[in-house]
Amino acid sequence: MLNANSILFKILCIILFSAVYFLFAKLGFYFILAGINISALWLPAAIALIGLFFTERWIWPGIFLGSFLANLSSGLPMSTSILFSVASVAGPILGFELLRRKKEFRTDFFRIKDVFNFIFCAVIPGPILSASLAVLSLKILNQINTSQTLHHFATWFIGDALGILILFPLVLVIHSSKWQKLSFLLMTEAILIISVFAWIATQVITSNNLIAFIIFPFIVWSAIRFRQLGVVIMVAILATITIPIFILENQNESAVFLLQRLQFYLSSVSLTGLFLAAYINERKQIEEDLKEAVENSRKAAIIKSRFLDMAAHELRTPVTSFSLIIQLAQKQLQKGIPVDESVLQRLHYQAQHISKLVVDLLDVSRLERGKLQLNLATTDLLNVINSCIDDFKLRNPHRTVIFKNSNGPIFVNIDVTRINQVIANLLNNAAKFSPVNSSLEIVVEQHPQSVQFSLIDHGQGIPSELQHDLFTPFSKISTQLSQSGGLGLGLYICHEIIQLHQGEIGVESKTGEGSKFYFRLQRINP
Amino acid sequence: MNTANKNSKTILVVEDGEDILDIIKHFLELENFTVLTATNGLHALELIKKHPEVNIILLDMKMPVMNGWEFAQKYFEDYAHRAPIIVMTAAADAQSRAKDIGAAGYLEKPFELDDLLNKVLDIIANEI
Repeated sequence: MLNANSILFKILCIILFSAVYFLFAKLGFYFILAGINISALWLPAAIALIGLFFTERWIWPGIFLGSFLANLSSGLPMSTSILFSVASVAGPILGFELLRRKKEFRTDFFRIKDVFNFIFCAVIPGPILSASLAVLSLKILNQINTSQTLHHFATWFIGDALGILILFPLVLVIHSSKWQKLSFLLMTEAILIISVFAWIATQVITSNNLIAFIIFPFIVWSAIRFRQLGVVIMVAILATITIPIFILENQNESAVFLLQRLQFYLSSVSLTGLFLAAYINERKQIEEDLKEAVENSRKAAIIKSRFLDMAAHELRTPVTSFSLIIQLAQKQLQKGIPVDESVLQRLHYQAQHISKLVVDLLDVSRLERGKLQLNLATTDLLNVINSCIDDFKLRNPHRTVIFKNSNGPIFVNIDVTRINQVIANLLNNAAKFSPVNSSLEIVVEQHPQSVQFSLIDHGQGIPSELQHDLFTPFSKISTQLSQSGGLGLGLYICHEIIQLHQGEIGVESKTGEGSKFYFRLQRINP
Repeated sequence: MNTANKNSKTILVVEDGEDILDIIKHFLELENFTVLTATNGLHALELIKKHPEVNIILLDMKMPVMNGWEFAQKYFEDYAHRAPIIVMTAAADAQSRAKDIGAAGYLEKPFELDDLLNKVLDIIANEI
């Protein structure tokens, strides 16, 4: 079977390609002006470059074969045919290699940079090499004298360069375009521009060249409305019509000057269009980037103000409690009712609540400014976990925490206070979102390079569509979480702390089955 | 002052912060009111069904299960004779929120217990 990488497939492609190359070369010979023996349009160089581009170079024997057969069949001697074929392969390979080294080259000619790269890699150096080699061959074979050298060089160079300038962008832009159905208006515009272009093209040669200038507003229009695709198609139409008319009209000695004019004309139209389309693209891109940036900063501002609103609300609640507790105590004292110690306890609890909110806010502010610094120390993670559990049990005497102590110690390089904060936060969340009588389970898994802490609860679980938002601040889910106290910033802070430790934090959860929050840290072997 | 509420009006306090709820209850009881408490709108509706004698409702807006708006909407739909509502909120636009649900008054958290008492007494005075 033929697959795209088999030798047989490649050989078939090379043969087929040489046939295509041969036909384009023959077409070029057909455009030779009888009076001056120069082809007005030489497309094989462009065909060769396109072939190299799409096959990553391996098509080159096809170029050689096609060129050799075309030259031989046009009556050139064997030696000239071989040397010309070498020239025909070398130029396009140089162009291809130079272009390939420009890693950022975009085949849709999207940016001005792409047009420049195309000109200075493919349009100029390749044809210079081909033309030089060809002229050198003629010299070696003593077929030209010195006075003719420059003329032959220029003829070969301009033919190749113009062919590449017109055909290469045409094929590549069409190849990389996303075709979409045109609206009625665009379709009408396209037909109008094509008609005007075709008409101008028929007039360029015959009407003393003045009408030729009218092409420029239309290539600008085409570039604005249809970008690169509009430009390459218009230039192709222009070349397809002007060149045959030129051949028919100019079969005499003065044709060489007129031909050069036509070639420069076509090049100018093509380059104007390509540069303009690229410029418009870049502007559009900048516009879109700006729009996106504005939109992002608008969103950020909304998030910040929503956060401020939330923070104010959350702080008001404990502050209200605090103030009401004091006022009630005053009222009681005024009425001669004794105030017991529980009032102080309640005040203490509210003060703790307020200070936790303030600490969270400061943490977030530090994190957002990249100012949160870790005091790293080599620590046994099991010790940290145990002390967190003890602390949790002190505040939640009715909750059961199952922790099967695994083999320790497990040394990690951490900021103990911060990892304490993470574990305490996860424990508090788990306690808050699971039934009071359900147990919480801590599992520590040891791997050669890392250690994973997991906390499993038997709560209501978190729907999968909300899970990825859990660790982002001010998100919908974190706002929902905040309804049960706190700012909903806890998990975001945990995420950032673990990230600062080069670790990983995550959640696995199924609705109705509970959740597993975990984090992984690098182990160290002291 | 104590002469005004000797007829012992019933006040329903709807608030999800249990601490705040507890203090307001204590305070109003100290002022000789009968106090009912609910921690969300749904709970409040159930209480009103059982105790149609409720004279005034103190309502927090941001609550889980059923918030203040939903409660007010449902309450206005279901009852022709309605007790005046005093909104207690931490939101910056307390006044407009109170207006939205047709409340008789509002208290911006944190508030003074004396203000709360004055609002309640005003409403009672206006009713008579």
